[in-house]
Amino acid sequence: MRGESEAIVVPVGMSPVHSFRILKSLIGRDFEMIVLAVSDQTRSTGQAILGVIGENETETKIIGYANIAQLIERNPEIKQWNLLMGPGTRSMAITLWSEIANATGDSPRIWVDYRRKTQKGKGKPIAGEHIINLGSRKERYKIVPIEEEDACAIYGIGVEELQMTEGLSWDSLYSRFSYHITVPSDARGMSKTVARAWEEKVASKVKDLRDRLGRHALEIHRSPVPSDPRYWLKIGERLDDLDIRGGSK
Amino acid sequence: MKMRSTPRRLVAVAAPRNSALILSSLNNAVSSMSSGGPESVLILYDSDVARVTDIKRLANEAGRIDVVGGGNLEIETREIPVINDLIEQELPYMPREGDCILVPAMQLHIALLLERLAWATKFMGLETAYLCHSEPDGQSVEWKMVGHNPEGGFAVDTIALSQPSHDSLEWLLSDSGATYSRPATRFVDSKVEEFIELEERSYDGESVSYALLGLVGAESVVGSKMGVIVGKAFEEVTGHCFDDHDSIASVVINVEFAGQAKIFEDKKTKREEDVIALTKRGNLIYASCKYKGRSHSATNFPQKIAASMQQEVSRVKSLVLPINFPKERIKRMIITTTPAMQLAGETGEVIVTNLAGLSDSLKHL
Repeated sequence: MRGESEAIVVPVGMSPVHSFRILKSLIGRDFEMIVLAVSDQTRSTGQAILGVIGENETETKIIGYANIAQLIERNPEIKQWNLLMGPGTRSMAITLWSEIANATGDSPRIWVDYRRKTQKGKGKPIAGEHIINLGSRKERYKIVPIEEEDACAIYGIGVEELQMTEGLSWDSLYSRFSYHITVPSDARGMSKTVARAWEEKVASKVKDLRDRLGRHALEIHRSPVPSDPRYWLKIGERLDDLDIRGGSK
Repeated sequence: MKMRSTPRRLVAVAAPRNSALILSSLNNAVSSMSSGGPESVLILYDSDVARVTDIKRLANEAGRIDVVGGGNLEIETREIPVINDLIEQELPYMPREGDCILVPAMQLHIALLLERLAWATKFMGLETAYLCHSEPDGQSVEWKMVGHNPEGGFAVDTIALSQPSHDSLEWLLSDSGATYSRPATRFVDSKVEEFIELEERSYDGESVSYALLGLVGAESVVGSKMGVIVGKAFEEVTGHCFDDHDSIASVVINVEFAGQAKIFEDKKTKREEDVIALTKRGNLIYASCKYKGRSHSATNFPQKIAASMQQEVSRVKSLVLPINFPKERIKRMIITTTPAMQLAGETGEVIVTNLAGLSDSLKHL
């Protein structure tokens, strides 16, 4: 322990599983209190996160991000406020930073969620993911993985539903959903119109999943498109634009 | 709060293939000052961004932004470590009195810049610095003035200004590799209005197609090429109607996004869209033109028209173009013929209209 009472504020964005992982990683560390800062759009998922976390050794609270100053005033025993930047919108980040600064007369200690990524391919994290104190960069905590059941509970979907959606699964190594798109086995024989209809169906399904699960909690990949007929190459490029990658051959 | 200086230097961080974000943020910051505007800009970029963004062109564009009271901004560019190295290496940025940070796209950059500001305020005697955030709704700009309270502690004052974002279609398309045309200006408004009225009141039949070809000055042909010619003519008239509307700031038509794959010897296009427009209220419109149901098909095969419209609605709904723009400000439209509009069915967030209804639809965007 650092010897004084500390709290950390964790914003909840549109990928709540990420905030959940961060919260889980911070419990039992040097913080007396962890505050989930939510917006109107993320209030319900913020509450779901607290529901899944349940009772634990660290006090956890939830608050609308614009009201953080009121929470600070109600907790004068907290001597050091910390702010995690990463999840949530930019507006949430700078509002939280300035409100904490005004309420305490000091800039909060800033932490970031950070991962080094491979330069090639899909940019997988190298050497794990960490929460790092920018003021003292050796101070860092590993972001822990979470289980499929917890992720489904936060999104309010059943594990059965996940299992019944073809191509959708939980990737426990990276703690995110994985959606694999298989190019039809008869792709080479498809007319251009049928191939375009398949492309549109895929785009629509991916949009639906991203809206539901958040971009950061969902990894999407596909099997390669055929190189013949040639219109599949254009389809492959348009899928790349949607960040549905998998290469072509 | 004591204020010792006005914003003097704007500090921006370049994001990959998103020159438009920096340029509109700079313009929003400069235009929200009534006097005593900034003199210079520092653009920070990393080598990963420089690989996919023309930093020199970005700096040139930034240097052309008008400053209140006349003159232009002096531009400095500076390379910073790539994201993989940002924690281990120092950010080469030392805050100066009156610096104004334009809130960047990436939260890691925001965090590092705020950390620097706080450090300089505490240990380097920095009296006043600013943050300027262009809200993603495109309707306001929030300023934060960072300084000291009377007790010597840290203080941040916030001022929210209602002002539409200064965006530009040219900036938005510049990093996407798109080619496009401007709508023709040769149309006589009264002739266009006559055509729109005719199109609205004629449910089916070929008279509308002939009127359309007459309006654009094209010859009719026999066979399947007729469909291509009237389709192009409809796009031209639609482009003109967008261009002519008071709500539209800028419009381009026949937008082609280049791909990598060589499909044929000289054709690398991977996507073509009919109309992209920017409204004066800061919304970006993706519009598809569908000329349908004008050769007795609406009467003879209404289910076919309905199915085809549903397919297009689905396509436009999930359409993602290689343009970086806040998704809440992207509006999707299909401009079609009156019979196809009537047969379109459920369209959700996609606005489906005929030319007669286009003006009213655009008023709200």
